[in-house]
Amino acid sequence: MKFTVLQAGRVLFWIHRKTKEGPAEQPCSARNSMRLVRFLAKRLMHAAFVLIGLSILIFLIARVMPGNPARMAMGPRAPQWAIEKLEKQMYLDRPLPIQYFYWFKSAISGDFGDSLVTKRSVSEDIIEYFPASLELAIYAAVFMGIAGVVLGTVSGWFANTWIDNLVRVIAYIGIVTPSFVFAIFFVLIFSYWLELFPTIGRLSSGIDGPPVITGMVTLDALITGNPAAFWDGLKHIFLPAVSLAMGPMAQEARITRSSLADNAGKDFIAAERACGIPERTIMFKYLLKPSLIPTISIYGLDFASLMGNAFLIELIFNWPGLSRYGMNAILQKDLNAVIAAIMVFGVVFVIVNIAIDLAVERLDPRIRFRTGG
Amino acid sequence: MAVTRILTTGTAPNRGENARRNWYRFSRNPLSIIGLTMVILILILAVAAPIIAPHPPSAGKFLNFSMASRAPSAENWCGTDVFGRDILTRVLYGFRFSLMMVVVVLSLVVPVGVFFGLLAGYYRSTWIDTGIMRITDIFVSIPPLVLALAICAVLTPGVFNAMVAVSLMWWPWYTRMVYGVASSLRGEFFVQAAELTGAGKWHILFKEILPNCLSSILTKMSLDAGWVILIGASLSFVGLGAQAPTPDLGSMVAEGSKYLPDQWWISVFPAFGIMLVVLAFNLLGDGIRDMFGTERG
Amino acid sequence: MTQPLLAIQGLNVGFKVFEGEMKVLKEVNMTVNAGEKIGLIGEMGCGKTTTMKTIIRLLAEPAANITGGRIMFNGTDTLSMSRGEFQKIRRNSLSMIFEDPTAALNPVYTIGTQVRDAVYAAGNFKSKPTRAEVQARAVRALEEVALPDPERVLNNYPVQLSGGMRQRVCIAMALLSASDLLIADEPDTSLDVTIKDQVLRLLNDLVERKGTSIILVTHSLGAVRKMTDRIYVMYAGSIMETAPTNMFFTEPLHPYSRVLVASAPRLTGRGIGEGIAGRIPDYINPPAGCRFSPRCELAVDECIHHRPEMREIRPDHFVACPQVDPVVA
Repeated sequence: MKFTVLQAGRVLFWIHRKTKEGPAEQPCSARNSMRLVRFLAKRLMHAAFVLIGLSILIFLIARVMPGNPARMAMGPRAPQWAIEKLEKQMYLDRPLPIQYFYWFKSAISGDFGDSLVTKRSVSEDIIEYFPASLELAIYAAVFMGIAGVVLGTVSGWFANTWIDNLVRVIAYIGIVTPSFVFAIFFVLIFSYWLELFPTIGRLSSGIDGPPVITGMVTLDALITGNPAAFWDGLKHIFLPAVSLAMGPMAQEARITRSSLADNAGKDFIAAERACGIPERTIMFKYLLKPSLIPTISIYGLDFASLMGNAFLIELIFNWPGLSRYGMNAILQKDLNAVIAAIMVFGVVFVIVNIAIDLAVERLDPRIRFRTGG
Repeated sequence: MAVTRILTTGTAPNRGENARRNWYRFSRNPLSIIGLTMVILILILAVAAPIIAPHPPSAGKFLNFSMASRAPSAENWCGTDVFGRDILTRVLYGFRFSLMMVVVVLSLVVPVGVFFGLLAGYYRSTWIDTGIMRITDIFVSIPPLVLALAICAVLTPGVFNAMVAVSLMWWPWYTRMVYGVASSLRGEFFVQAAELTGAGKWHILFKEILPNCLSSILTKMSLDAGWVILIGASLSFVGLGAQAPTPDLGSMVAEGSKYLPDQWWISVFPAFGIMLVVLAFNLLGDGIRDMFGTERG
Repeated sequence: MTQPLLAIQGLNVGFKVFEGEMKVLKEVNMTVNAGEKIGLIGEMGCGKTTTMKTIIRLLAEPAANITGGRIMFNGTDTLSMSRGEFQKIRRNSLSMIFEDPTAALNPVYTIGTQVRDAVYAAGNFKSKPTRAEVQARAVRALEEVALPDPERVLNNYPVQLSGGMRQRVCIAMALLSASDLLIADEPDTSLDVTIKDQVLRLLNDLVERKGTSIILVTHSLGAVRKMTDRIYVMYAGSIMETAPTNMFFTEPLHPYSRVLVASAPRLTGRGIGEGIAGRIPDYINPPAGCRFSPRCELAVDECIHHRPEMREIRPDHFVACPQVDPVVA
């Protein structure tokens, strides 16, 4: 495993160097794909660097903590000799860089040590809890993106009317309300009073869950053709996903609205109007696409706040995800689990950001053709 | 600001006119005025909480079970909690903690972040730039609240430690913003002119570049105030921030949510409190952004 | 006399800003006949672009405010038209070229997408045209402006073209929907010296061939002298003088026109011109009388207090200045 990681790094570096000079005589499509490969290689190398940095940071934070990790692992009544033995096993008697080196060595092969709380290997826990979090994040992210852009566009199309003002009020409410407040109120309104949605968990007790394939209930239900479980899973995920997405969605709507207003004053819109291109085409094609660039760029930040708030939301809805696991680990000072959970979040966030960069690069030819063309 | 204005228009705007122009831009949107008023009101309420609050002892360890869980009434406008404490009083004291959090976090974060940003921006493409910016890369590679939670994990829960955690993860954002402005400014004529006249690097950093970053810094600060409060509330909601019996808005919501929906007032009013403070700072921040916006009348 | 193509009558336009209302255009009158080539000259910031944008209704409302006047286009008042009615004019008869071709092309769409949409809008298609038809017309439009390899250009994004090529694309797009009148707002200003002439000559050839009227706004006096039939001189939002081009350049009469012409740099002759002392007046509190009076050497009391009338000093040569004596022909 360690070996393959090193090899992968070397390959990346090689690709990066090889693709440096796109030969001009090559056909356009080949040059484009070359550019893409180079771009990806560069981003992946940066990601690797950032993740190593993050692991050092988290490791340091975890180790400066007062108290002896070995003592905590064994409990207060453990005999001194047992603790010393564990210290040796955990390399706690060695200097910090060595400790980190050993941690890194085993982490890279997927071994993050054992959890103090569940008494299992942390990686097993992660594999078990991660899909639930991923499922929640995907639903929330999709909702936030679509609803945000739609609200922003509607607001821009009906600029300075009551619809615009209504969207503005919704956006302000979304921004100023903590996600946990949304969660509490939604539960109160939609499941307690209106009895539309269930409160906690991923499936109702009466429904047989689909077999675990991906670990994401709704997806598994779809794969195995189990509409009842799919519908029930959807109902369960609705409230947590929406309360998670409300804040960032408001942010997206605002950014979309303001960049629409920004671009509306640009010369190219005036020029397109001068050519007699219909207002509808201008709004939904020529104005919307350049305006989506800031929306997508800010998506990374919004996704970040979504991931952060997932800790609270999973706690409130008793959602058996990695965030709740991490939250419990934090509350119980289960450091191995904390480090591992945060590294997983780091990886997810890095991947999301690469995807966003890629999307922006595809969307904005000014970035794509900056160097040549 | 001042320097570029002189260079572009040839006349130095006088201070009073500038202030009036800024006020006009700020006040064009009535929401900004509302925001400013709200912030000032909340400030007054928070500072004067011991005088204004209907029942000051409620802010601390106070028990009066004969008064417990009363619905809002003429006597207790926002009702009482399960210990018989007046909720309005606790919300007013909660404002104090929220505002204190903003002040402490921003005064820790801004100087540090701005200093590193200026340094990295001015020494663009040297090892100083690379070193500082790669470190900020690491910090921004993880969602802020996640990092704050992780830092809280190793510290004992409490108001002060929550502030430390938030500050630790927040400074890189200022560094990155100032870096952007500073690195574009260093090529400007007034910076080069100062270099040619032999001005020291500290003079250039703080007297030439910094004043031109101030508008962006101020805008970010006012918009961030709301975020700091939200994150602080989130931390105390999960029990990593202020501990009982401190009247903190986030932990009050967490406490009160156990008694929903029958005793809704215990959690609803503190929640409104959070929303009110955050809204006030957001409106104010938007106003300040409009004021400094590139748009010229 | 036949009806003019475009007649601007007593146009007043203002902008709301911090200090109050900027009264930019004051009683602008202008006439363009079919096939006529008009040159509009004046200093920077004197309302030329505002006038042009008012004609084609591209002012940024609500800050901009048309406070009076009429714009007759082919005999109908465009200012009282609905959006939909005016859209028809934009689609077929009237279009505009902007100063900066980099800003005037949508950066995130290919040239092809934009030109094809302009082709489609300018239309005259009886039924829904096929893709190939539209593409063929787009290619022809680019060929007209002498762009080499139009198929390739259509596949490019604006960033991939040079400034001159971008301006040619803009001209091609504008010409598609400008069968009657083309407004060219400083089409040469942001281009390299070597490209300027090429683009202007191209523009001249095209409008001549198609018989389109053009209003050319430019700082290049040489270009208007060569290209246009009639000159309008604008200062601080008012028309100061208008005359047939030859007559104007032989003897500009308005004091402002004289200094404007005199301050143009020449390759031969007296070297660099003198320029004009002073600045364009404050639009918030503009001079009550002639707007040029604060800078005018000939100004007398009357100029400061009364707006000068346009007077026909000699046949077809109008000047708004009481100090200029009628020339006896």
